Amino acid sequence: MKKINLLDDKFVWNGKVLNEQIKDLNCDTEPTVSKSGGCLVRFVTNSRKMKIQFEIVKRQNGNFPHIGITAQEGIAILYKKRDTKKWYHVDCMDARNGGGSVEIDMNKYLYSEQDTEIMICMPILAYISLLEVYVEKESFVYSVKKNESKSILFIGGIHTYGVGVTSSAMMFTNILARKYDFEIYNVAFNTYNVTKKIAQHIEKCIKEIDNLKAIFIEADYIKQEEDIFLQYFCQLLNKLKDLNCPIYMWNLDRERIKKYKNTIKCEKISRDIYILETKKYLICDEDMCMYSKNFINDTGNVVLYRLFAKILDKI
Amino acid sequence: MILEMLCFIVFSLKYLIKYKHRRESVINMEYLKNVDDKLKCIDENLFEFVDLMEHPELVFGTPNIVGNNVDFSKYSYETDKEILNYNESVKREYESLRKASSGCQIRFKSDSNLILFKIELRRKWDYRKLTLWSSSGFDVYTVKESGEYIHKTVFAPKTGENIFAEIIQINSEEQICIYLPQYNEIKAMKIGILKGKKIESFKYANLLPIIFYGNSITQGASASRSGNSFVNIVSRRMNCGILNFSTSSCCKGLLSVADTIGKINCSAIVIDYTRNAWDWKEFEASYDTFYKSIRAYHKNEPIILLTVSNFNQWKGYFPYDDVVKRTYKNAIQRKENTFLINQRSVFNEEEYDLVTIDGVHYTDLGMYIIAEKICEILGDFYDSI
Repeated sequence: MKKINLLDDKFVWNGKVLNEQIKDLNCDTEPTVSKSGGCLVRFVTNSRKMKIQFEIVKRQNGNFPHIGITAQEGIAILYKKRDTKKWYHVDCMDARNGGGSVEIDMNKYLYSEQDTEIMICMPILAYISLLEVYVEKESFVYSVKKNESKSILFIGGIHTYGVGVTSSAMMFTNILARKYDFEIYNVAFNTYNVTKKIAQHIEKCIKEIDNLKAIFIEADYIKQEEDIFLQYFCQLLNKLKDLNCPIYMWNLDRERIKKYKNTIKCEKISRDIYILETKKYLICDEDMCMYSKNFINDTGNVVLYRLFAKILDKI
Repeated sequence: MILEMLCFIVFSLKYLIKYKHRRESVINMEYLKNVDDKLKCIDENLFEFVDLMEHPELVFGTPNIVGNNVDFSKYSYETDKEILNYNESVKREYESLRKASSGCQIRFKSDSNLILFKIELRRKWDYRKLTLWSSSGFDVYTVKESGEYIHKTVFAPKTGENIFAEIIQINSEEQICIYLPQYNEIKAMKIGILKGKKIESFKYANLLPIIFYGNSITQGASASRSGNSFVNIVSRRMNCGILNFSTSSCCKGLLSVADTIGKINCSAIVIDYTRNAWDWKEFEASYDTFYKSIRAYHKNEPIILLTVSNFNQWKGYFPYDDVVKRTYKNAIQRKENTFLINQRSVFNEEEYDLVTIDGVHYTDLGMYIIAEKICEILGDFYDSI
């Protein structure tokens, strides 16, 4: 078998550079944006047997009864036949003793000699320090060409971060990444006063991303004071006013939508800003989609994927 | 009495003011070294406790009542012995999960506005492929007179803890149903109600339970919280009790389990025995015999057979489906009340990656859709007789 390092830039999708920047910025507490959270690794191979090995560092401690251990510290692996669209799960695993390994035998799934594309979703509460694949000696491994002409930015709070998923493959940004031929950027904060953080970081995000076709902003108002939220919300809108792409605000209920629409009028920001009433879709199937009024689960992420997909279909 | 009332008012106000911004009814969780330890944050003198293990009338979903005590073990001594024929990983899983409270519920109503739980679980740690709110979660619903279930809250101890106290707020005389942990065992549980108040059970409208026999999926993986496994969703939709004889890795079509299931009066049986068989030969040798053993006891009850939960095209499991389908066809030819759910056909292949977290274990979406199928079949059956 030969070993390939998968933490090479050519294999990594979704803003490894962005996360590096955010990690270095001054924060009141230790940065809560994981280097790995929302990141993907993709490669194509003709190897029928492979072994994926990983290690984690700086695993965030805390009480997360609503995030699967697999999502907190492990990886999720999917495959598809090259040049097809249907993705299938291989497995997902946690990181007992700081890491793990999994052996994959593609003979279980494939009838004939076929190249496969592998996608590995990273943990959301830990940093990946090592990610390698061992493949058959005579086989090839190459990176998947990124579609640099279309980028989408998702920036926000707990839902964008992945809070509520059992496996990181179920994060709605990761679902969108495997269903669409875009580069999907995920920049998220699991902390207080999220809008302040978003307003502070959005400019750097926009500078780094080429060909931005849309921005989705999670208006996470749960863990913040209302007046701070509105103050930074206006600041945020101001920074976005010269952008040439539509902006979608989501995670709001009716009352807040009215409030924020009025705010937009006051600032006289003439922009393509759309407010998505995502909450009503989640609350329709609350028992299936949510743990409580504040936290969505895997299926809540599927509902969000379906809502955002309707917009991405038109891009 | 007046002093007690004043204490209660002050106590309640203190918590209600402190936690007024919280939407959930859960107020606080305290971790203990022993379930009998005095609490630091809550004045226990305001409560009187009921030991759940001595009140089987409050517990639904466990077939074993030993004397007047609750025993969450579902399997017979014969099954304990049969499992010894299998390999170490099966034996380990069986030992760890044979008393897991998957499919069990506590149902009560009380005129106490505050309910205090003191609980000791067996396991302290997360279970792979599950959230804590699923593996160790107590999932609380209110049940209206109409039979509608409204989700109220869910709680579980944090990683590394297994003995804890939790308090919830309810409306007086509200009917409460709590789905118990799917992948953990309750070693001790005390329910505290305010002094002078009462607690009593409330039963299901439909008396005979539905029996489930399956593997890790039927045990509840990977629903996000314990109430969202498909067995519990069926229980809510049909408003009837269930008995869940499902244990991860241990679903082997054991004749001792068929015997146990056979001797229970039930309204239906759902068999999800497939992928825990070591290989196709073992499966083919046991499946039809297992089915017929149950059918010999339950001549007329509907039995639903499930094919393999296989959503990543694992070729090795396709022959298992053939075995299930053959058993189903033969049963139909004998004019038995047997039904088939082909799990892979229930979902659109484009969305296979959305209904499970790993190609096998259902998300809540998968759980809901399978539950709907089961309810549809059983609903049609009961309407037709």
